[in-house]
Amino acid sequence: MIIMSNDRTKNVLYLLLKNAAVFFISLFIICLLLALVPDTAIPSEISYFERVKDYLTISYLFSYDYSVSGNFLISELILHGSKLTFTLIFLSLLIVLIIALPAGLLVASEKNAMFQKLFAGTLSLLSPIPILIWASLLMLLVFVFGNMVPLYIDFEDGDFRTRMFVLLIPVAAIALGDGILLDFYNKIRDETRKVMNEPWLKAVKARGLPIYNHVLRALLLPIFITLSSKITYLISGIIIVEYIFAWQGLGFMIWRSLETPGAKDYPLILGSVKVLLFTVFLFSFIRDILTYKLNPQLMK
Amino acid sequence: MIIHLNFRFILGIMLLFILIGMNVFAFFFSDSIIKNGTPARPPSLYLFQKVLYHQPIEEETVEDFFSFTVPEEIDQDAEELIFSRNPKRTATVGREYRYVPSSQRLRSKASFWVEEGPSGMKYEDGAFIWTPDTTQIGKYDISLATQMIDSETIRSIRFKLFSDKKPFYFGTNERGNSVLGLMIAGSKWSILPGFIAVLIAVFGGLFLGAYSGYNKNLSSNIVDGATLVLESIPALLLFFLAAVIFSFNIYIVMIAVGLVLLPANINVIKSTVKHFVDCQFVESSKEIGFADNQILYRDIIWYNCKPIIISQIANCFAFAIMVEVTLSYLQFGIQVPEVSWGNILLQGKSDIYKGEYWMVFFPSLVIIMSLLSFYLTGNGLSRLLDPRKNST
Amino acid sequence: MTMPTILKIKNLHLGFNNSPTYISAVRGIEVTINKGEKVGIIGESGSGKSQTFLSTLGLLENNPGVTAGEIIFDKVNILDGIPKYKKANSGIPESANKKWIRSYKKRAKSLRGKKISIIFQDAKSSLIPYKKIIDQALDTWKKHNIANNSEFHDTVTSLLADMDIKDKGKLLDSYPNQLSGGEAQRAYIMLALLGNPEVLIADEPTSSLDPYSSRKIIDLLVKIVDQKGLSLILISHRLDQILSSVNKIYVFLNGLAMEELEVSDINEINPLHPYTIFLFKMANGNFFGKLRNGVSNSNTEHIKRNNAGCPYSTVCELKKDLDINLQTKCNDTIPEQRLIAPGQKVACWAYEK
Repeated sequence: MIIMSNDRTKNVLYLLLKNAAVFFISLFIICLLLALVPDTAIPSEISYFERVKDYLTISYLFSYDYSVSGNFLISELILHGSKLTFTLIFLSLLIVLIIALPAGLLVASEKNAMFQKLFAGTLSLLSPIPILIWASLLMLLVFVFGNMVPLYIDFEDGDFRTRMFVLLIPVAAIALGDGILLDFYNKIRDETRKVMNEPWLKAVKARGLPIYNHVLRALLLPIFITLSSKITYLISGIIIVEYIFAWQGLGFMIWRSLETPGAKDYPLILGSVKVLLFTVFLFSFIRDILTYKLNPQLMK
Repeated sequence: MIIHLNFRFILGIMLLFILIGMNVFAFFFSDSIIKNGTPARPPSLYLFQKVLYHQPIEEETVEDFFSFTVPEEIDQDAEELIFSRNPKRTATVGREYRYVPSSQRLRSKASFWVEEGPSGMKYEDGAFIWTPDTTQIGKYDISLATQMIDSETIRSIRFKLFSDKKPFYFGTNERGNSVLGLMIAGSKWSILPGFIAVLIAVFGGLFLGAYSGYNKNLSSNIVDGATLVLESIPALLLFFLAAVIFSFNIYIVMIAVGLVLLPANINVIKSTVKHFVDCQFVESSKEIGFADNQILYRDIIWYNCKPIIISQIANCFAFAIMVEVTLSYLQFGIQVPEVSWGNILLQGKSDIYKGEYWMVFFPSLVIIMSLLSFYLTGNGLSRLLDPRKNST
Repeated sequence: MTMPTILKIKNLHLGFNNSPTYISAVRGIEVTINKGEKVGIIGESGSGKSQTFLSTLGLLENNPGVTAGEIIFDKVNILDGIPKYKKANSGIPESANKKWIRSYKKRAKSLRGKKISIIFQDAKSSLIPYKKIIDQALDTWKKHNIANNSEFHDTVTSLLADMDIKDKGKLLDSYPNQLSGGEAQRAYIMLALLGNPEVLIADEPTSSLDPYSSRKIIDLLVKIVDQKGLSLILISHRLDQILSSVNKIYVFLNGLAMEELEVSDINEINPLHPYTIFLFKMANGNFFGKLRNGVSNSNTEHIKRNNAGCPYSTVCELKKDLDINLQTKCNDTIPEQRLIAPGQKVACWAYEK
């Protein structure tokens, strides 16, 4: 129960405003840059500032004049795309957590030192490999040795099993690449070690009480902070990840729109960017709140 | 200077030398490095070709046309007589190509011959041999046959054989360019563009971070705000837009890379400086009369931030390589006439379905090697300079 | 009147494997605690006093830590089945005998909070920082008393009643960082008693408190222990603080118990071991009358560790008066505890008959 005193309300509001300001300013900068993109389909009478104004109205106001792209409503496209994108991101992070959490918690039991060293060693060898390379190598392994070709098309039409099968390579590539698993594992391991050395945990042990809920509670904040930073990282690289697997998510749509030499689909680009930036905003806001709330030193 | 070198640093330096060597090669011999050969030729080493053997060699059982007897008993050994070893798929002009179909014992029970093949290929003394000469370059469809002595059945295998003037150790891609040459040629984009990114990210981060950590005035608040904004723009989108706006000039994209890496560096330096600014010695130094800049740079940064800066430099170079590869892969970076690692990966990606893995595998290895060289060198060097701190 | 023995530690050896060296922390301690008795453990830092009692609860940092001996609580030997090694000081490698380690930990875990409770030096950092005191008490209560949820509040109130606290409600409702040192220590004592233990171990409870609060806490501990009939083990390095509160003291030095001394009657105290005499003098120079002749003020030089023989032999004044054979014995052989007088055991070759 948080008693919302004046002090606290002010702080939450401040965090909200700070993150929202970042969101709007980033969107603004993207509009500015987007207007610089050379586009042969735009008549030369339209000046740079008119383009910027155009894009700003699209992104800041939900104006429905620009609501069609091809034969589909932009809102439908973005909805469909975001479903796919976020499935990929969150599933991969879920798998990473499932692997890293027990492995990192093993520090607590102080046994299995050999396993820990082996695990950490292999991880640090594999983790500098970026997602792109992992994806290529994994596709290679599966196609050449397994003679299997999971394509995105199968995902759309298939049942649950096919979908899981198609998701296998992307999720594995994201989980293993760019040190995501390694960062989670290291963080969990370090925080567990820190908690285990706290005097109050030893006192809890001395009273005969179980320590697990205390350890897990101490891990919540660090895990969430790492999670939000990895989500930001994955979103910033979403275009390449989706391109490799031909995954029709938001990033792929952005790439396709920017790639066409003629008229580029600006409302689609801006809509996708809006959704992505909003996710980043959401997670950093929640992270700021949790840092503030779960930090025992700030409890007065 | 600490003489105790650790393993990572040495390994990293070795890999870095290899990378720089490739760069030098690429700059001096840029056009003649990429040799041309038969398209889609597998790597020459038998080890690498074993991967291909997962694809079935077509095998046919052909009955002797003029025999009216149907073979009833199948000899126990007959199954083994079928070519029990997989043939090598590549041959080099001037070197003997040799294929030993099966073990000694079984060979004596059957006869082998060449059904379809280049002139000069024959079966002699237990092996198919052929020495291609300079006119016999290209892809050949080979068909070799065997017949057991007491049987009417003829078994044959078919495969494709590539012969070229040079032994392409890493194979060739769909256009016939040697993968090794492509890898070396592509390396010229690996180190040089990184310098711009490093300049902006590391040195900009150093000065801005130090300034905002040491002072608490309006400018440092502006720097903080700018850091926040830069952190939240999706990086790849920024690179995209930079590439598209400035017509795929990789150096401008590197400026954007530097800007994207700036916030993290600023934060690290700022937290280090903040940690020390409250110490007693800063106040004492000010009272003695040292200038602010002197305290900041000589005392705080020089003593504490060296390992940080070195690892930042290494990470920036590695990130620059990755950005360049990514953009080329998406066709937004180095455009097609120029060779880059991303381009090679893109060209090879569609051929994986045919089992032609070498176009993607070896460039991936080279990319990993170059990244590792930077990471290991940076890590090792920063450990050397500050052996107390544990870097994970 | 003999009271039944509740905790008996025999020939305990503890060591830590700080590869490549092996550090022997406790080298053959023998301690007997009877029911209702108040025992003081005196020694400097590193003498092994905390480690001995932490090992009864299996709370040692280094697995398993115990290399030999017996710890008998209520007629059950916790260290039953300990594997024997050629040298008791060589340490049990962790990989060997996981089965014994597991059974030792299991037995020790069953004692924690229920039979033996321990309170620590810094109470504020022994309390869970993000929970209120009342919630922590509820957790502890639930673990040890499954059925009696209704009696929780009564028990808490009655425990706090004797503790001389100004505002009990406020104490229960606050977080640990809002309490003072003395209040936190009282709260932790209350938590320790919720499981109805039979033995209360106080590991240097007053080291981080001012003299007034220290006095109050020790008096509080004595009061509670007398009221409930518990045994108290008071570990401290300040003899003067605990001398008037305990029935008997053990003097620890470098992992060995040098003397066991009954101190119920202040006028009848007669310390025999030179280290004990030194400690008494440090506590209060004019404390008592009977002093062994010839023992002058000991030098305050830090006692150099002697692993082979008596740990006090490097600075012992008594040694100079002995003949050469006994002196070599002092240097080479660890003295054993001998019963010299009723209620007094000393480990010193000078008293060997």
